[in-house]
Formats: sequence, structure tokens, C-alpha cells
Amino acid sequence: MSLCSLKKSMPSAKPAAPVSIDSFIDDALTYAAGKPSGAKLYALPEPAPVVTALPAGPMRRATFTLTEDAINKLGELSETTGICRSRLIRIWIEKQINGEIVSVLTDNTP
Amino acid sequence: MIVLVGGEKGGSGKSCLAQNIAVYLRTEKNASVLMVDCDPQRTTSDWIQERKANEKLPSINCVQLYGKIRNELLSLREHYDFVVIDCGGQDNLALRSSMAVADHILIPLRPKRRDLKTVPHMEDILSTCKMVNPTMNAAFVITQCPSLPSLASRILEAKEVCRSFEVPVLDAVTFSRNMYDDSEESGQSVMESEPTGKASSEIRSIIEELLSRAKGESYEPLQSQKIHAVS
Repeated sequence: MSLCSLKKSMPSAKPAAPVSIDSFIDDALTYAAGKPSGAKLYALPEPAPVVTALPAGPMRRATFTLTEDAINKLGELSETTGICRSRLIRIWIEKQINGEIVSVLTDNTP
Repeated sequence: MIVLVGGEKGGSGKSCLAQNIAVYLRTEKNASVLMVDCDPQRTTSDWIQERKANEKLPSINCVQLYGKIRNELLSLREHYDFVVIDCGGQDNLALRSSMAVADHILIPLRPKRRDLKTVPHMEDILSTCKMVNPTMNAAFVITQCPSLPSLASRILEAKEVCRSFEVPVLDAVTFSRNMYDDSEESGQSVMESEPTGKASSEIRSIIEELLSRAKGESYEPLQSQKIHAVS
């Protein structure tokens, strides 16, 4: 694989505030601890919205066609996360609408 | 003047470069040189010990410093023409302290994915460092390059990756040569083992180009190092 795929692909964000010498040096400890480093100048993506409450409007039952495999995986996800299947689907839709999982739409999964 | 050879990636040839640069400045520029070994592996300290055992070799002193060493470096800079720092392959207090006061920063990288993946973080550090050390002269240098013409494109691509992060990369490179290992084992530099050899030319080119950059001068390589991609 070409090394050129490692070229810079997103612009650097400018540091918000001046940095003191001590904070620049101490930032190495933050980095070593695996925490977000102050030297990280890339614009971080906004955190994903968390669906915490039920939608304000009324909800109704809906029927969609899923494969057996998809139903099983949805069930597994529900057990793992403790979130009911309907809510998992609502979270997924919310993220799609916000453009966070756009790449999934181009998938060829039946 | 402080010359730092450092970076986040281990095995890229930092100690080898620092040692050879120190000898070049000591023997060919007649400068007083102190080496600072910030690497707990003590590669440079051991090399200095080997070197001191051979009375024919010009003596270079070395100290080991770890942690927040900024004040120590500022003090040492007053007593030597050049302080050459060998900083181990990780982002730590010693690396940041050295970057904060260094006049020249050389970051070696091999033309490998695993090395080039450290470039974004180094760019972040350098960008922040500019605020505390605005006059620093920092550059990447590609090391241990393959000499096979069919792999020359890797060297050019590695330089392109570095340039895409808007951090200078030197034209001069080092190739993978046994001479570097052979000379190091006897406490020597490549200039002492084979003064007119290719490895010696590589080291001279690297440090001369780095120092020229700081003066804003263009650098004419001592030996042609034209690299052509072969498809």
C-alpha cells in the first residue's frame, strides 16, 4: 500500500489560547496517560447526541422486514447494551439523520 | 546552541544520528560539544564509554538527564558551542523540555507506515512548541532508506507525507548501511571509520542542511543524493 495514504487529510485547528512553557512540558504526562493531549490541534468531531428521553410525540407500532440474521444481531445488541430493540433502531435513525453513519448507507448488506 | 535529535518513534536512528552529528561538530567544526543522553536505554552513554576507551578518538563528554530538564539545558548551553541531545523514542517530559529550548530539532523517521503514523502527533507538538520556542528550526529527516531502486518511491512518498503536514523535511537522507552499526560498536562515528565513505557524506549533508535552513540559506548537497522512483 502506498505511503501517500498517510498524507494529511484534515486541516489543523489553531490553538485556542497561548500555551505556557510549563503547560507545554506537562502535557507530555497527559499524553502518556492516554488522555486527550493539549497539543492535539485537530478539530475534534462533535460528540454524538445521546438519545436519553422518549420522543415527545406519540409512538406507534411499525412493521419492517428484516433478515433472520439482522433480527438476531439486534437482539444481541439489545442484550449487550440493555437498550430495547425499538430504541436501538430509533438511535440508529437519529444518527443517520445527523449524518454520522452516512457510510453505512453505501453498504451492500441485504 | 542546542541540537535535539528526538521523536516519538523508537528505532528510527536517533542515537546514531545524534552521535555522528556530535562527532562531526567536534572534529570537523572544532566545536566544544556535550552530549545529553535522555534515553533510559543509555545507548549514547554506552557509546561514549566505548569511545573514551580509545585514546585516539577526540573526547566528547556526555551527561544523562531525565524529566524536566529545561533549566539544566539552558545552563549547559552557556558552556558549550553545541549541546547535542539524544531523546528516546517517546513523547515525554525530557523531549518536551528539550523542544522548548532547542535551536535545531531533527526528527528521524524511516520510510515505513509505522514511523509515518507518528507525524500527525509530532506536528501537533511542533505547532504548540512554536508558541514557546518561536525561533526553533525543526525538520524531519528520512533515515535507513532502502537502497534498491525499485523501493525509491517509498522515500519520495515518505517525504510527501511529511510535507503534507507542513513540517519541513530535509532533502538529505541516510540509507540503510552496515557502516553505521559497525562504527557505533567501536565507539566511533562513520566519519572516523570511513571519512570519505557514503555514510559520512550522508551525515555531513544532514547537519549542514539543517544548520543552513536556520540561516535561511539554500543548501548545496556535498554529495548528490538524487532519488528517482522506479516503476
